[in-house]
Amino acid sequence: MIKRKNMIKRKNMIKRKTWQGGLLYISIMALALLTLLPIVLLVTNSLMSGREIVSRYSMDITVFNVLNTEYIKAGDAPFHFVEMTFLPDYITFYQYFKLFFKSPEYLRLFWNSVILCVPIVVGQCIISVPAAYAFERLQWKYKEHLFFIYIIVMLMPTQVLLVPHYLLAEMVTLPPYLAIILPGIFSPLGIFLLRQQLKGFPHECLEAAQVDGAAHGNILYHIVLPNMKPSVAVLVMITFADYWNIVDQAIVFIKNVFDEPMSIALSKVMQNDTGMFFAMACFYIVPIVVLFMACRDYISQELSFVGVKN
Amino acid sequence: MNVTIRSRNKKKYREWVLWLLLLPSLMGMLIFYLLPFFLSMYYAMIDNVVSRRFVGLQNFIDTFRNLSFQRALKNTAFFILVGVPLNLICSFIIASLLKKMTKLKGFFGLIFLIPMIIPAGAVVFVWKSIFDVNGILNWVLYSVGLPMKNWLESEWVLGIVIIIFLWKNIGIGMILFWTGLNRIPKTYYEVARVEGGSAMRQFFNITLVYIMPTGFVAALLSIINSFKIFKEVFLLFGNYPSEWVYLLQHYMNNQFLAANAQKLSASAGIISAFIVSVLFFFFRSQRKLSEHFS
Repeated sequence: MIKRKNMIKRKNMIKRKTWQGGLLYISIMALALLTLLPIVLLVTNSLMSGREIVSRYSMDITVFNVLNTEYIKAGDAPFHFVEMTFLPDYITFYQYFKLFFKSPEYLRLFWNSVILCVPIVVGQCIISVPAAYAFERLQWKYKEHLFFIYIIVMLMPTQVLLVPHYLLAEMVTLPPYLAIILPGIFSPLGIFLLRQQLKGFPHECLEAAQVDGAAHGNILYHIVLPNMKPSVAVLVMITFADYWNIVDQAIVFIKNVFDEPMSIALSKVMQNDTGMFFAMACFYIVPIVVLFMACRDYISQELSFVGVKN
Repeated sequence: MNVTIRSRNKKKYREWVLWLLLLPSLMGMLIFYLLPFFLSMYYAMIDNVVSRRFVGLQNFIDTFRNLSFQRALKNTAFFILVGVPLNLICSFIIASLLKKMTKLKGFFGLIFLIPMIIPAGAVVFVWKSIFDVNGILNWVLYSVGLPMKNWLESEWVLGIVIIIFLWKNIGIGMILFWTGLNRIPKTYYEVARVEGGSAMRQFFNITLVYIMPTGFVAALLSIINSFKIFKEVFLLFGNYPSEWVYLLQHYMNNQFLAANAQKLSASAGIISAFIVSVLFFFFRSQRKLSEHFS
């Protein structure tokens, strides 16, 4: 009798567990869908014809006082709501065709972003890898104090760092792109990330190599670098994502409309040529998404290192 | 004797190589960050670039008295005080939900990270078509029969900005909390269960206490990231937004447009002083926490 009671109890418990598990999965799934919603919307709507996009998303057609609710409730308001949808009325690749073959001015925006980001990412790697190694191996009393300065600079908001950059660029009249690229190359983020990773690297290994007479350059190139590939990959991704999305610096330094990178030009396209917007936005996020997918295995591991630091 | 000298020389040589490796970064740091920063602090203390008269803290006081600066400060403070705790709570909840899952953990974790890399310019349109006068939100309100609002120009607009902030920043907080949760030894919970601690007590006495250090880091990162929301806000509202979203970054940006080096430097000085004091607070309390635990 007692045994049977126990069995029923256990059965109920299992039932409750699966029920809870189901709820858990459903809620996580819902949250994930909500997170992905804007991106899915971009992708599906990029297959819409330009005319459909304009008719669905034109926002400023009605000059209308919304707060005048009585009028709206009366029913026959000439009120046009945005008709967001995931499925276009008919699917066409014309927007992409137009983007790639008929509108070089838009491709130029993309190119602007590329020549802004790539030098920063490459320079950042070239500077950070040896510097992080040096920081880790150096035996100097005030090393950590120096590193603390790097951390403070790293955590400053862009707007604050922009002031020194702006003053410097004014003083030596740097061209706008260089005024963004040069400080970007020396940003301390990379050194911080790579050093976090190096801290976990077995020091005996490095010391053994040193005892055997290997120079620092050799150790760096043959031992450290091959093992740091994941961190370098994540560094590339983070820096690229940061500067691909450049807004603050660009609106201060770049005065010429044709030199604007995609990040700010896109919002102008959104207003002037709504039909092109979705295709361009998709084209714009492709590089960074590809990069993200390429180093997806390391990302969470690397980012959690940031937390281990302190 | 001879050997020790040689090895000392060798050691010196090696240190020298390390300095050489560090040199480019040090130079860049000095030229592009530190020296111009001191220059800007000098600018903050003179009356104008032509006469260069020393005025002490006058520029800082003027900045604090400036009405638009006060407005910006208020909005930014509100945004950080509401947005950052919300971000921490949401990412903690998602992290603990993910921890309970058995399958597909990594997959979902990755999905929550994606917003972090999506450029602001690409999704701003989506936010706009949701919250605009004739956007989706108003459409829903209209079909339910509730009064509508011009959300992007009402006093609620900071709430919308906070939603965008959460969408973007939950991922990174979640990753931090996730690793933090995984580092709490399971034996603690087992002991608590044996001694009859309820789930509630377990949460408050074990999880919350041991997640504290992670929480600090996550809060710090969240504060830093909260300044980056300017990208979205700028793309949504432009240079001169309504007073409800006028952030410190707008103030700075408008000073850039006016090319007013003194005011610019003074406000940069104020913000950096704020950030440095937050940092010191964090590091001190962190040290206290770690002393407390060991």
